[in-house]
Amino acid sequence: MAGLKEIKNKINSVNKTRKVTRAMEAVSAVKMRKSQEHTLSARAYARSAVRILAQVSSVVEFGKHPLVAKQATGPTAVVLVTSDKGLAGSLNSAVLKLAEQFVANKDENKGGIKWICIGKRGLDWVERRGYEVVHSISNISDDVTEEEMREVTNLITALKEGGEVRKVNIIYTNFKSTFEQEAVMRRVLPLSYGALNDIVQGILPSKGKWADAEDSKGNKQIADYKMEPDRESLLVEVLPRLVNILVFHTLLENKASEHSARMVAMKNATDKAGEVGMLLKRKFNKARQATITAEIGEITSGLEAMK
Amino acid sequence: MKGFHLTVSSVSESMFDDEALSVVVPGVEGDMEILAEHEPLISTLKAGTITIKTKDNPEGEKFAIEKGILEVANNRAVVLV
Repeated sequence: MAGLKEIKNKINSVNKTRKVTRAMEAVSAVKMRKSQEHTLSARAYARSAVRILAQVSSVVEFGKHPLVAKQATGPTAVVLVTSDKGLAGSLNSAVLKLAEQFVANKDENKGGIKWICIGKRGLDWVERRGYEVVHSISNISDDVTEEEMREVTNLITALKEGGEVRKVNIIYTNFKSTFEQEAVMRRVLPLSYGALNDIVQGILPSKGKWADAEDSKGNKQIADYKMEPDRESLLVEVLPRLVNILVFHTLLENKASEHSARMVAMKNATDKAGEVGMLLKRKFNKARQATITAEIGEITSGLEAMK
Repeated sequence: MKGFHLTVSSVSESMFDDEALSVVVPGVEGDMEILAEHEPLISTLKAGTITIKTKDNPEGEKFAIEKGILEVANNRAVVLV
């Protein structure tokens, strides 16, 4: 049987771990509330933006705009949205699993992959495998603004416009609820009505007070739009902005998912630490009782011997 | 007078989401008034004021915007600012 001292040490260390995870749980809970609110209120905006984007791209499909035009050859750019820090359950591993599947799918990625990483976890993963990283940003604050994502948007639109990549995919985590997040991969560029409409459908939460299916119903494909000012200058301004909102939206979703996943993971860790602590305590008591019994045994047998 | 559905939203909040009778927006080529059954239109907006008239508020509710995108289709208008 392990010594009393050792068990005592173990109990102490478990209790300390429990304190740490509990503190992290509390911190994550606050962050989670904030970023969920942020994400959910931006959803209506993002949904409208992506819907407009879908409509516009169905119209310009004939216009051969470089962001809409399909290209047969060339590499694929993948934007990998992950968190900067770990301890968030299966959040990042789910995203990276999708990335891995994409790498393994030779039909989809013929021509090679260029990686753009948002968040350190994804960057580590890509670098460890020695893949080509075009750009990376990390340490993004929770109050990220739309403008900050410009960097990424400009890069992917420039890559596509310059014909350097065939398409641009984005892998991120879609926030469903505190207990449910889903890693998804979407095609951003070339813009197409079908792919974008899928994103619009994905933005609808499955339940909760923001779950109104209203918006998706009215999305009939419009044959043609009048554009003001002229088509060319409008597209130059509007397309990048709408793509930016799309990228920004994925980041917000990821933030909300990250904090929710971490909160839940830390809660589980705290509960488990409590359980382990209790078992150790029981073991400690048993061990102490055993020592006392042994001591009493020795004393009484000593007494017997002296008679 | 026939109305249409109007949504005005920014990243952080939804400013208007209801039936409206008319909305005046600052288009890049001058102010435009959108009424019900407007033809499909997409336009960029410049800095200015949006005036929304509803049944209950014929005087009009005003918002200042810096820039924006307007989309009108299927008798609904969306303004992203």
